[in-house]
Amino acid sequence: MAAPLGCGYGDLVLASSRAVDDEEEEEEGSQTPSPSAVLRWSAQAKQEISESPNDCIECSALIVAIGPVATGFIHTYLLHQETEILGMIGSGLSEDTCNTFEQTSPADATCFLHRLKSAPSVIFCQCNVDVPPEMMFSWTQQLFSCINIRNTYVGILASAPVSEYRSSISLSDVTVPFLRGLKTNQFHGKPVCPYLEQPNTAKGLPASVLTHCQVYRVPAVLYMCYSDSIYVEIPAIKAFLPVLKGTPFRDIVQENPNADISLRKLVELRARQNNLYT
Amino acid sequence: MSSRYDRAITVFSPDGHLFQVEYAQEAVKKGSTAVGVRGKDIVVLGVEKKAIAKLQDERTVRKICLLDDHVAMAFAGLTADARILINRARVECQSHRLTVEDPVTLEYITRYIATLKQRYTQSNGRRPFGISCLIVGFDYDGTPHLYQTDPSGTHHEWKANATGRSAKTVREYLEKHYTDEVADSDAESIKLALKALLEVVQSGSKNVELAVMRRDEPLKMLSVDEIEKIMAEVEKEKEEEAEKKKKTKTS
Repeated sequence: MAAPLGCGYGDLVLASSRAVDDEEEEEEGSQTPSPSAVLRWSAQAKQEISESPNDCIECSALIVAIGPVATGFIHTYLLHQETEILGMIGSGLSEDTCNTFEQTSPADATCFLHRLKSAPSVIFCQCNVDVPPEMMFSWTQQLFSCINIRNTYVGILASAPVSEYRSSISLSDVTVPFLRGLKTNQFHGKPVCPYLEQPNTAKGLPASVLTHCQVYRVPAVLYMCYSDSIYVEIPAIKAFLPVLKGTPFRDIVQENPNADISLRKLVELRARQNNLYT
Repeated sequence: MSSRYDRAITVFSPDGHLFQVEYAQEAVKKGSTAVGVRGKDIVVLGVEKKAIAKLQDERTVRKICLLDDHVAMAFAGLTADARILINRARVECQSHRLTVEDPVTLEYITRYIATLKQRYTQSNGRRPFGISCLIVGFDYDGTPHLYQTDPSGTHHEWKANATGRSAKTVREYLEKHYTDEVADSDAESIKLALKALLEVVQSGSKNVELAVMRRDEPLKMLSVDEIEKIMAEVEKEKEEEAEKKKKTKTS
């Protein structure tokens, strides 16, 4: 039997079936695209980018703080001087995500990029948003999209519950909270705390950022704070203090005489009424 | 591997763990610190007072409670579990009085509470109580006692002990500073409990609650002024010790 005109051997011929409604097929075709993170620059930052020769913001150090403990630490010990908001990364359109530049309370679920007026080459990313896993890659891409990381040191701070930490030593013999570190090959030097031991792994957004730095040969160091409280507590925030003696933090830090007061206010702001335990 | 053996309370893991009981002991560490000291003629309970919300009534957040006229208890861990256990213990105390015409001994009521807790570690579909108790009081013959129970259902008698958050630090302090001379003096026993608590609690009478029971006397909650007075004495002693150390260094 001769082949129908226009069809060659091996061509896929889709037979239409009376059993299937054509309209259903159309609906299947138009699936909602997977959401991606969006970086929005402030008006001033946009101008700076447009005026720069390589359409990038110059940066000698990028500090990424993920989660309330890490952002609380950066807020108290590094961002206590005058800062400006460069931009924000939005990752979602649910009711409780903040997508404007106006919501600046430390307890809001925001992700702002800050810069110290006294040290304009240092950029801080304060991420208090729970970035969903499917957006982590695009979030990382967006973060590094307009920042010139050729001569940049990256410092990543994050926290995790100690129940996820696996160790041959019993946890009752370990002082909690504690720090563990990981670094990229390009980071010459050691973290200020022990390395994260096997079989533990860094997960989520901190891992995504560190991996990006490893792939693009950026010197980066990740500090994970393991704490036993699901609430933000002062000991967990203070556990990050040794980090201030290491690169890239030691060149940026300036003493904050009101650190303890600031910490207490932050913890009170975030304290949820815990009546479960007495 | 532990996740295969921590769903059901009645299952041992291959290496002999009852994970739910161990997790219950972690829940105890989430509660604020409680310390107990047994003196010769006094028993003391000290607890770290939780910061309460502005609109909350302070009286409903109590860590020290009476089980009977002569038995008091402090706990650390899940508040709701404590309430249930306290109610059962109180009923048992009264039932004992009516049946046997004698008040419970500390050992009896501690054993009752511990047995109850143990039952919940061996039952289907139930979880252990997530609290650890410090039970103090005087027996009918006037002997003071301090007992501790934990979620596994074990109970032991102690001269001084602590439970809750940072209990290890407090216990180490007690081990260093508890002596028979301290136990012989009511005032020193109270000071020891306070000093042990201050190792882990922010200083201030607002953050600490102390209760004392003397032989044939009811439980007395120390007022804020009384606690502040003791705190001032403790501070003075610390300063005097620091001065002494400086003098010995220079000489």
